Amino acid sequence: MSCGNVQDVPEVDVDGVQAEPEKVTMPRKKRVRRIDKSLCQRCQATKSMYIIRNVTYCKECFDAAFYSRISKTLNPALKGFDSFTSSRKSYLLNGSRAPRQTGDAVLALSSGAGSTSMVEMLVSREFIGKGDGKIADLTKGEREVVWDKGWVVYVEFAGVLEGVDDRSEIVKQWVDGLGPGIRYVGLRAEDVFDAGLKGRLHRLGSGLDGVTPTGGENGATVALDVTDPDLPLFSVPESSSSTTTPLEHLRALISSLPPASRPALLSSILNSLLTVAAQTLPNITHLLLGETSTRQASRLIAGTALGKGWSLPLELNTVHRLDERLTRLKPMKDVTTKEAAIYCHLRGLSGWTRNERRWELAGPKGKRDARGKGAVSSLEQLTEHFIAGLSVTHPATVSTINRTGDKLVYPGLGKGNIPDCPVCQLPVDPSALQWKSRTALTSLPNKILPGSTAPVSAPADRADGVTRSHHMIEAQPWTGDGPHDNLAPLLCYGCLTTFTPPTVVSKAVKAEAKPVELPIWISDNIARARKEVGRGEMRQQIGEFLLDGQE
Amino acid sequence: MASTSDDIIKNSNGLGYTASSAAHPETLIKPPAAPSKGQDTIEVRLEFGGGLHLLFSSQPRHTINLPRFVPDSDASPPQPVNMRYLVKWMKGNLLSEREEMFGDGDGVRPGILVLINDADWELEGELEYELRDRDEVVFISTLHGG
Repeated sequence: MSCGNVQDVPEVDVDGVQAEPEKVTMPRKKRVRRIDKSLCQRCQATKSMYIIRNVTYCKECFDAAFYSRISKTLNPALKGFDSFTSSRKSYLLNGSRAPRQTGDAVLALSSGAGSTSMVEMLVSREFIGKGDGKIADLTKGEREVVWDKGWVVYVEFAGVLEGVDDRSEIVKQWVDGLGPGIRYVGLRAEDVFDAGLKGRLHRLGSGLDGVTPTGGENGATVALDVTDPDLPLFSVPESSSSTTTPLEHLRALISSLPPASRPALLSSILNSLLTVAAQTLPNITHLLLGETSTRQASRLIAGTALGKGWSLPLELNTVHRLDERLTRLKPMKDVTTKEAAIYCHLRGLSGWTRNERRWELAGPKGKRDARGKGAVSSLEQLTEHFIAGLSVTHPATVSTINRTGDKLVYPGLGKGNIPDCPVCQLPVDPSALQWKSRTALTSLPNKILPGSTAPVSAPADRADGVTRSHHMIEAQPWTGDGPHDNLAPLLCYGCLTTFTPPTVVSKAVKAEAKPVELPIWISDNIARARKEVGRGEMRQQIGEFLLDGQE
Repeated sequence: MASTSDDIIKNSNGLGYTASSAAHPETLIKPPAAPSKGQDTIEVRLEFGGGLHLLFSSQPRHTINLPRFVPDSDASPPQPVNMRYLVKWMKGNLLSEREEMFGDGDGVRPGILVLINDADWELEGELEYELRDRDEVVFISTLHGG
């Protein structure tokens, strides 16, 4: 129905031509599609049971949507983005099952909802075979598996978390019941100090006993003084380290860090153990993590706050190549933690899963807790609570944060060979130390203690058997050459903040502090960095004798 | 819409549920809610997942009895107990430690998933859902800490 405005007189323009009277109509109401939230919006037939991102699902449709969401992430990644061309776009993105992979997969399991639902789904939907190498007969309706065999790696942190039960046996029982193609690998956080870890994994992978365990690359262990902002390194004689157990070493390292830094260290420990397992077990081509979109959003915000911005895009990537052979995948990237928890509930696993890893319990409590300023002590935990609150009050926010994360691009692309941080094993921000020196007054190498006139110098030998490997050098921004007596120039900005001592360290604490031993993977990476620098130095010395092509 | 006993009689196949609900057990018609003479409590089954049971004496399942109507309420007619009452009751009677890990105001903390008879409580009215006899409420923590 229209209602022309009869009172309006048609306008006459400057040429005296009468303008066409404009028909004024009532603005038509935009039809709003009413959605009956009591019905499943997918099948429109059954009572809705779950609401995910404002869409309602019944049980059957939820299950189908869950599978579809994972396969749409996983399958294109496995079909090979390296050969991505526009003509292959539809094939890559259509979500159809990826071809059989040449190697096997390592599935990281924390017993939380994300990783549990990932493992359960990959096994029940026959992404993982039975380990017999059987090729499916597609003419008989058989489904081709993607990986012939899967290794489920579980890392237990109970040794360093007070009051947390050891669940490795319970997890092993569940994994053993998954089928013949799945094998359980139980690791402990303290294994990062165990020189025999790689040997154990080799034996497990080959099924052979009596293989000589192989330790770290160089066999030497490195200790660190975390009370000094320069993070000076010490070499540890093998005799002194052999008397202490790996668990004692790890506890000492955790205790030496401020409470807020401990979750970041534990996260690096977890990553390193998973990577070592994937690189050591035989014929592994993929490492699968069950990180959900909720965790990704949390990682993005927390990573930004922790100063990991430089390498954050690499950390958030669905597909990340760890080396020539091994690729890390995050198939749960588009699934929320709520969906994963519902999936586990529908499979009767919600009582079995543990979504709380309680890393805030690592090490002695900080003073903040004692003063009652709140139990939340890490940025990761604060961020998680923030994201959980947002997902209730602003339900679309989690996916918005992730979309923003997807747009981040690693700034080091095309900038040559950037060294990796020995702790998080991601590329180092070249200006991390310079940035730190501009923003914080933490590096005072030649400071003079009140009442003394001489600069503080480290003791040459210590009673505990730990000796300085080199003379202390002045802390300077690392330029890529020169020996490393300090860890600080090797670290990325995020790890630098992790190892930064508290602003105020009492004299008593500083006097009592002993260098703490670093895990084997960090010692190995430091040794590797030293070797690379040694090569660089040598090149400089003989540079004038080298032909252009040899540089 | 609450089901009445008449609905059950008209649609029943004699097995206690309607034919359409057979494929989807979540649509099972509940027994009539009217209390029998002298009955003034309802039974509610509670289940905890994702590690939340550690806050409730480490027991993953509890069966509790609640009054059918909110006690000490001046409301007329009497107000049936709802999820708000249940959460408050749990904080006062079941929670054994760290209340801040479970409750947030009248409700539960963000990050705790609540399912009422297997359905998301967001579809059931959250805190205003009126509890019925033999309802099953599942609380799953999705918070990871760290």
